[in-house]
Amino acid sequence: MTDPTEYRVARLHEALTHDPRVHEQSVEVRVEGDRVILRGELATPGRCEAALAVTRELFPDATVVDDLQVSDTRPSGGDPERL
Amino acid sequence: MTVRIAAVGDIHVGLDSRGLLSPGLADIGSCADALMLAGDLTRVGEPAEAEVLMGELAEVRVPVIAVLGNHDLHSDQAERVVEILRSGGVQVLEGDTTVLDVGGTTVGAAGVTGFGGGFAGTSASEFGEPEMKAFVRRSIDSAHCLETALTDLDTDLRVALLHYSPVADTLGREPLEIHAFLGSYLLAEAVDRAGADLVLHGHAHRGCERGLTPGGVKVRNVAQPVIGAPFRVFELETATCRRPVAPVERQ
Repeated sequence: MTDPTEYRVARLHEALTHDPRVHEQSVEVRVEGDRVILRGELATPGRCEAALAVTRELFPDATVVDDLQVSDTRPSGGDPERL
Repeated sequence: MTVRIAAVGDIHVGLDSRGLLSPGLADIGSCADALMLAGDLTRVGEPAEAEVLMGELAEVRVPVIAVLGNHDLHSDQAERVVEILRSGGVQVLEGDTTVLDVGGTTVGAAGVTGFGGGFAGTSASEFGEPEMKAFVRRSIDSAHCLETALTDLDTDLRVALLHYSPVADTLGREPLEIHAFLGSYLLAEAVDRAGADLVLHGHAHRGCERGLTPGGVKVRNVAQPVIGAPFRVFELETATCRRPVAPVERQ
C-alpha cells in the first residue's frame, strides 16, 4: 500500500512551485514522523516565510521545521578563480 | 592578458527583491570586466520583475550579458522581459553571440538557455509520443544553436553561457531522478565540438561549483544558492584558449 504521505509531499512540492507567494522548485521537503522539514536557499526572507506558511496549510497537524536560508547577496571579497 | 568574468545565475528577482542585490553588485567594476547572468533572472518572468532587476543593475558599470532561464519563460512574456533588459543595456543571448574588447583582448560569449534530456547513458531519446519527441527536439535544437554560435566566434577567449547544465558533474546533491530535467549532455557535446574556454550555467540549486565536459572544458555552476555570494569571478588567460583537440564525427 502506498504511503499517503508521499502524495502529500508531492502536493506540497506542487504548491511551493505554483503558489504566487513562493514560486520555488528547489525546496527540499522531508517528512520524519510528525515533523515536516524544509531545506533550501531562497532569494528573499518573505519567500522563506511564505514557504513555511504554505507547508503549515497543507500539514496543519505537523511541526514544520525551518531549515531554509536566504541567499547571501552581501558584498563579498571572495578570491577569483584563475582558470 | 587576464580577463575577469563575474557570473551568477538564479537570482530570481521579484517585486520583493528591491535593494537586495544592488549592494553586492555596485562595486563589481573593481574586480571584473564583465558580468554574466546564467538565467532565472526573475521569479516568474513578469515584466515588472525585469524592471526591478534593471534597478538592481543600475550601478553596474561593466557590460552585462545574460541568458534566460525556465523561470523567465513561465509567464509567456519573455519577449517583453528581453525588451526591458535590452533597453537597459543588458545583452540577452539566445543562440547568438556578443563580443567584448577587454584591453585589446576579445572575449566572445555564446548563449542559450539550453534544456533537459539527461546525460549520456540515461538520456531521453526523440522517440515515441509527440510530446517526448518535442521535449528532446528542444534539447537538440538548443545544442545545435550553441555549437553554431561558438563556432562563429573568432575571439581570443570564448565563454558558453547557459542556464541548464551540460554535465552531471555540477549537479552535486540534486536527486538522480531529476537529472534529466536539469540539463543535457548534448550541450557538453556542442561545447566540445566547437571549443570554449569556460562554460557557465545555473539551474541546479543543490549542485556543486566545478565540473568538466568529457572534452576537458571547465564547467562552473554559478547558481546563487551554490556559490553563496553575489557572484563568482573567473580569471581567464588568453594563453589558455581552448580549441577542439580533434574533430568529432557528427552522428
